[in-house]
Amino acid sequence: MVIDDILKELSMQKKDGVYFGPAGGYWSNLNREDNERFLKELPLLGSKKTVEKYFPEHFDVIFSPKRAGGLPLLNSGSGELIVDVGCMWGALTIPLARTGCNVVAIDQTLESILLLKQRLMEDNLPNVDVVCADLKKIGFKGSSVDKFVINGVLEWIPESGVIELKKYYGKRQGAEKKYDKSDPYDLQLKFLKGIYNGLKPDGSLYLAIENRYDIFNFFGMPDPHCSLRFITFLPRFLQNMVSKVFLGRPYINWTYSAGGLKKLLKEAGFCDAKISYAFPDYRSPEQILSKAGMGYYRPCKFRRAKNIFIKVVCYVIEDILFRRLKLTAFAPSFVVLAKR
Amino acid sequence: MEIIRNCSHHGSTIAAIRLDDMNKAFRITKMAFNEDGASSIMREYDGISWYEKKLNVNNSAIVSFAHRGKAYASLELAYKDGQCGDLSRSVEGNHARIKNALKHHVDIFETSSSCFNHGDYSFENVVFDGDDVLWVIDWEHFTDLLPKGFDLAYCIMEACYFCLKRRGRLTKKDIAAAKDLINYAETKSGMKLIDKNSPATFILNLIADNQAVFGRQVHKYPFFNSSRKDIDLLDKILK
Ligand SMILES: C[S@@+](CC[C@H](N)C(=O)[O-])C[C@H]1O[C@@H](n2cnc3c(N)ncnc32)[C@H](O)[C@@H]1O
Repeated sequence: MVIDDILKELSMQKKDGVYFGPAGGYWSNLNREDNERFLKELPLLGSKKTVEKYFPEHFDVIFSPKRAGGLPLLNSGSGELIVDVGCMWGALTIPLARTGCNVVAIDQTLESILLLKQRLMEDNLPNVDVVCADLKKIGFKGSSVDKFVINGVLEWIPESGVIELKKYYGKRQGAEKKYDKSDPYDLQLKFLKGIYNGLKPDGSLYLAIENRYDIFNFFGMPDPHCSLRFITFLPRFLQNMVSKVFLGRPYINWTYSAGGLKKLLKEAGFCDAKISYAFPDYRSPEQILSKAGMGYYRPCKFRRAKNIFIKVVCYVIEDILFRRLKLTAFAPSFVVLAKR
Repeated sequence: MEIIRNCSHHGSTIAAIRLDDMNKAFRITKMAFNEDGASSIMREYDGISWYEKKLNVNNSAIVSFAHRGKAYASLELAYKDGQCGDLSRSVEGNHARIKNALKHHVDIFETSSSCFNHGDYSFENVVFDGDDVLWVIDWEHFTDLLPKGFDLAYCIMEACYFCLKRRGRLTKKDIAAAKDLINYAETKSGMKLIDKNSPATFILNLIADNQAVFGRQVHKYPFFNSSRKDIDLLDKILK
């Protein structure tokens, strides 16, 4: 049992193949009612058919191999122990498991985990242990894990309570009022320190997160975390003021510049954080380039924007900023590989 | 890894490139985490292994290969440094290089014992040093299920197609060059490769008839995706 070897909590209850630790909040692209209906049919129809039936718009997020584009950086091998923190539907858990690693996938949201469980069963991947727990309430035993994966989770750590992204995203009133009252930086730092302690001496961390200074934020692209525009790049005190006016709470989904991220990781103990830049974002990257690789940049072909005018404008901006000027400071997202 | 290209060309493989101190590519790793992609990579491995045996090289380009079940594979290769064929140039401008690519192909493939095709013998997949062929890349369509000589006909017709699409026309010299290439390939290989009355339609039909061989990637083949108008025009020009 891998779980006992890496988690401090020994009293975990196991039920239907899922380990339960201290409970946390809820975070999902789906409302809880939708999730409930979905989960009822899941065992009957299987994962692909149920997803197609209930939320085809998320089919790609769940099944597209594109999301795992950054994994060559991690260079994981058979037999390694990898922890996917905030695994959600397992977009990275499943590819990792396929390489033959032992994976521990942790998330607070049971609904997401149940879809992951179903997929693991369908794909016949017994080398994954699934844990439902609040990441802020569990601890890792010292030096036990080869690699950690944090894909789009760090910025959510300061939250607590219920986040139903569908209600929340794009609607100012929808934002959850509840949040962790501690300083976001301290919460993220504490979380990363926990990860650091769990790593073997030669272990590494794969971390993907949005860039606070993503060029498109300056053009009014809403922050995907709180859905406000023109906020990510403001100084922290201004972020708080704006967020208090519109959402009635401070700004807590802290993202960083490359320098800020390096500093945070360094403070958590990591040395040697190598930053790569993901285009058009880390969620479905088409290209991930290091600074040295920027000479090979090509403006992205696929974008979510439907409007042809917006597509062209984005193309031109990217061409100038990234291909010609190689200004990585404004890249959309970071993928960081940090060594212990 | 300094460069990662993810799932381009409708594929599901990831290509990761490592640079040396001079910022020049020196290793390429292909990786896939699903059945589609993994089978491409396994085929590519088979293709390169076969190619190297035919070439009789002692220094294999394959650095490492791993797969697990059907849904994961990874192949690390030495990066072959040279210039790939450039399809934005005219057929006439490319004539010497294409001819060498055809010769290389006949030398490697068209032996009596071989029933293989590269499957995507695009001019862009041939790496040159000057006009000489250095290496052939992208073997993920390597197969014994296509008719012998498919690669040769495809290579020539693709060059004509892109010349038409990207430059808007084929000049008299381009047409003469294309005809010379077809004659050359047929003489050299000793096979009849193409229906000279409607060569573009001929290729389109070959691809369509063998769709199963190409799988989902069939859409990446320009003929398969092009309008009837372009095909007819190309037929008319080359007749
Ligand atoms: C954007 S999703 C991550 C997606 C996933 N890693 C992927 O690549 O597809 C954020 C996930 O983090 C989880 N999460 C956020 N805060 C958490 C916490 N304190 N404890 C456990 N899970 C948390 C949420 O439940 C959610 O599933």
